[in-house]
Amino acid sequence: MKEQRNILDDLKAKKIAIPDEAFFKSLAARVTQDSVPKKSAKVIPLVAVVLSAAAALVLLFWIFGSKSLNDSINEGTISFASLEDEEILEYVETNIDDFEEDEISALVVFSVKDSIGRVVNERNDQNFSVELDEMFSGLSDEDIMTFLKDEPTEEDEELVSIF
Amino acid sequence: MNKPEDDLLINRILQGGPVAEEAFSDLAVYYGPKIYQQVFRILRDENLAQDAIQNTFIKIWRNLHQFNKECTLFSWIYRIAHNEALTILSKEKKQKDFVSNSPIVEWSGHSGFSDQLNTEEISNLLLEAIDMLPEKQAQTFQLKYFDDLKYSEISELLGTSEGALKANFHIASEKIKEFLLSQLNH
Repeated sequence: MKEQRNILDDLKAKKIAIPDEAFFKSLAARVTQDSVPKKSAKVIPLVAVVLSAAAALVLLFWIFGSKSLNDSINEGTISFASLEDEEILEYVETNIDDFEEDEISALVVFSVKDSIGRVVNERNDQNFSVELDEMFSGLSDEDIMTFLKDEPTEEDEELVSIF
Repeated sequence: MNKPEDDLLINRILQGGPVAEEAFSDLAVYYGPKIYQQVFRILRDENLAQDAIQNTFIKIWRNLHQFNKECTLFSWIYRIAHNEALTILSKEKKQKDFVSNSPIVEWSGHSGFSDQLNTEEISNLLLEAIDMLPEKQAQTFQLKYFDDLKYSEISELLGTSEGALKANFHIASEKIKEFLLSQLNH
């Protein structure tokens, strides 16, 4: 009976032509020259992460928490009356990347509407926002900040007062 | 070439610089041929096998720092090479009607089985059977059956005792035999 025999005994593995040592040496040289091995990612201890988070919270509280928070909540906006204008400007300038585009444009809409004499009852006036988007489309954040810093105008004063 | 000490090899490679390049060359010269046979059996084409080997060594070089030593270095490399070969095979099959005409086994003398299957067909079935085995059994079977390594050598490569390897080989052979016979009787 064929089935009772081991079929593997009737088979013989064919010899494979393996490339010589020079092939593997050359391959290794190509690989090492073409790419750099990645190093192990630096593991940040959990304690350091927790400490950093705690420090950030303390900093945030120091900036926002101690500035008449209750009064600000009642008014619907945060009051920075006790801060110097320069301090606020400096903070905004340093942390411009932390603000969402919408947040900035909403504030700009609010401040500019008075200066150009348009009556807009709500901050989210879509048409007005579109017009402003077009107005400022050619300006970068840096341009605006440079303007605010170097060319203080009445509008800027109003902007600061809104804060 | 004697088997290099894996830990030493890894440390030298992770050091970077000329030391790393030299160590990587040692790694390629020692493990390359063993891995080449493995990928060639899957692809059965010299050029494709060389592509798979190249991709394998690129991945080893770039990712050696991630090797966690849960298995031996050879097993880790074997796994990368196996996956590379399968990826290439899959691409080739998608791009064209990939037909390999390079059998990996031949009938020894006159076998009753040879009337039913040619060497190409039995090669395909054998690979299919190996593919269904658990990784350790597949590795052991290939290193013993195809590469004809001694159990002591396989033990060093896979980090498994010789007794366990013998058991693995026996079980793998039985499974393969059963599979092949079931296909022949079908």
